[in-house]
Amino acid sequence: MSCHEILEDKGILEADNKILLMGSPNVGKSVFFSAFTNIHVVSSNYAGTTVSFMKGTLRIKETDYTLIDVPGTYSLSATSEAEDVAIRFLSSHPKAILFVLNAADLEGSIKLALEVLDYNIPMVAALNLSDVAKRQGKEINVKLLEQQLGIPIIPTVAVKNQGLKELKQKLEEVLAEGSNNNSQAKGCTGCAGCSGCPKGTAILSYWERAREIVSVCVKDTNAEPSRLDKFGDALIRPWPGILLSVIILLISLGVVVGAGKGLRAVLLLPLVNKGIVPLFESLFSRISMPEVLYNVLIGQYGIFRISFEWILALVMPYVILFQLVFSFLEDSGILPRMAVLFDNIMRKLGVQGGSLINIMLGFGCAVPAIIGTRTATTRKERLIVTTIVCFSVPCISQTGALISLLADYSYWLVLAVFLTGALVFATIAKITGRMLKGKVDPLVIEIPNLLIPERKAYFKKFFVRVKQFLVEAEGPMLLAVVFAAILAETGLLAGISNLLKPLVSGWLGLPPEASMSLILGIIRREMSVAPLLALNLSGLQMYVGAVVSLVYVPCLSVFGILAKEFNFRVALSIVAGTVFTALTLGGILNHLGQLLLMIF
Amino acid sequence: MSKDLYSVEKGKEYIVTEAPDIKLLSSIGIFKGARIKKDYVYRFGGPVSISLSTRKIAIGKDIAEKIQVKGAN
Repeated sequence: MSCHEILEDKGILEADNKILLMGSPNVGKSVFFSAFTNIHVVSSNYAGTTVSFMKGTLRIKETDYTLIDVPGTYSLSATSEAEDVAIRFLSSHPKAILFVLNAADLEGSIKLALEVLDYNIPMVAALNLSDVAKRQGKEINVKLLEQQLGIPIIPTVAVKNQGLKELKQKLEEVLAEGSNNNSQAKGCTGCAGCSGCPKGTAILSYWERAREIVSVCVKDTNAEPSRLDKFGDALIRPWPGILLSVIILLISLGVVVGAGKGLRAVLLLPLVNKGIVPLFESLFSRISMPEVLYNVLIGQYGIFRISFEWILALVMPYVILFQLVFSFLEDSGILPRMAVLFDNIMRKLGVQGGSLINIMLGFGCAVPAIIGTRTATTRKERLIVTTIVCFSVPCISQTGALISLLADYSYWLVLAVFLTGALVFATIAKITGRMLKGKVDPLVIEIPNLLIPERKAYFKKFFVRVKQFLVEAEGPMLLAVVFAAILAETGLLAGISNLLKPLVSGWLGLPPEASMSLILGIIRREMSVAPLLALNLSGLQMYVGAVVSLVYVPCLSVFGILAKEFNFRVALSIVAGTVFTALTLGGILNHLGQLLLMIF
Repeated sequence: MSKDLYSVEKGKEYIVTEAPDIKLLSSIGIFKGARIKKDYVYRFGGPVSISLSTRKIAIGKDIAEKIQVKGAN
């Protein structure tokens, strides 16, 4: 996720001219941040999308301020890393705070606002999600709320860009006042122990004051719940919630797989095989060059053949469709509901339902999933979820390649590989749970309102994600392609295949050329599947090959993020573990399969 | 008479009489004296979902069993 570099730089605390963007989790802070700084931050409809703080420049009246997107917290009592970060920022002399109130959960966000107000920093608040509150029949008297909190408040619908201009205007006014009047507005800092002193304010009284304020400022019109709210509620009831979730997952899978296959067959394969590749063939045949070079460029494994066959026709359609579907799931608020519904299964596997969100992220790519595990409350949970993702969750490019490999042969094969993956998932969860010391905290999760993703924000996120994929994956994919072309077309592969023959053919039962899979898999996961496509494998060989590449993850980016988020030793153990497990399991399945084929 | 949140009847309102010392619980809104409504229980060791005034949350079984509540009326 390089487009919004996650900053660990402690120097930011000392920066002058800081403005803090604060609020409870999942109130849309990141949307404000993106709008004010033009740095796009990924936002979703569940708590904890921003796992570390981001900074950007906000220009107000010729002055550059550093706007900091502080991770959302429910309180300021230093109970988590995110709250520690928030408190450190509050104590670092910021110029102002842009606080985001959640109109649909006013009591909770006012309670946090009261805690923040005690730091006596000039503050402006946005009353965000005011459309959701209206939908739920809540009438909020903004004037009264301003009086009660003593700060200016602007109603906003940030995803639709409503109220942002007014908010910036107010912020400008507050900043101007703040610089004219350096004495603290509600100075309580000098007092040793008056009754209003924040230091003595217990958590309960914050809640009491918040409730009072809500009772004064909000009128509940008892409107009939909207269809969306009813659906959101159905989705959280055990029945029919579980059924609905399974249906939603199946539809999502169907869209990605079905449309992906369709796109490939109707558009991309003809384009590559009848258009692009012949074009390069005729181009290169006109230039005189040594045969080896010609083959490296456009031979059976030539760069200009397989880069289009693999990247354009095999990987891209699935990546694009996955992001289209997954962004919808993220923004709607369906994922945290699934975390609740399936917490019982996850709990039996030694983790908690919340980690399901990170595991689902892993079906896109392991890298954001591993970064996302920062929301885990214990290191043990982080490690278990990370290991599960590495061993048993194929990334979308790999899934696409696997489906192309298997589904043309038989859908039963897809199912068999899926079930094997699920078995690896459960086994790995159990084993790492046993091996690691420490504990995993039970689920505590906020269930957000169900939202229909706002079109503009949704597509922006989609494009950012696809662009991110292109920027980050294109290089390694091309590297793998060039590597493959040189290996295959110069005769190097024959030598390596000969060397690995006992392993690849003797143990795994695959043709010797499949050694290419094991080599390319080091660069990227899907590249361990792509070479299998052209080998005319038998059903059993496909199954074994698919399982091996599913578990086998020395993928360079995964290794890099593991080393960065944990350390080199963890990265090496996990990656070596996947290689060892993949080869062992593959061999066992091959021999079992051959035995079964002999009997029947 | 207080009972644990996991076993009390769903669909009713309760007052929390005792909550385990987990800070995330109090900051999210579960503390001694808080008024909550128990919405659903998920079978096979699943969590409990509850409503606070404006917020819905779910709490894993192992914590829910340690939260003591009494009837609100």
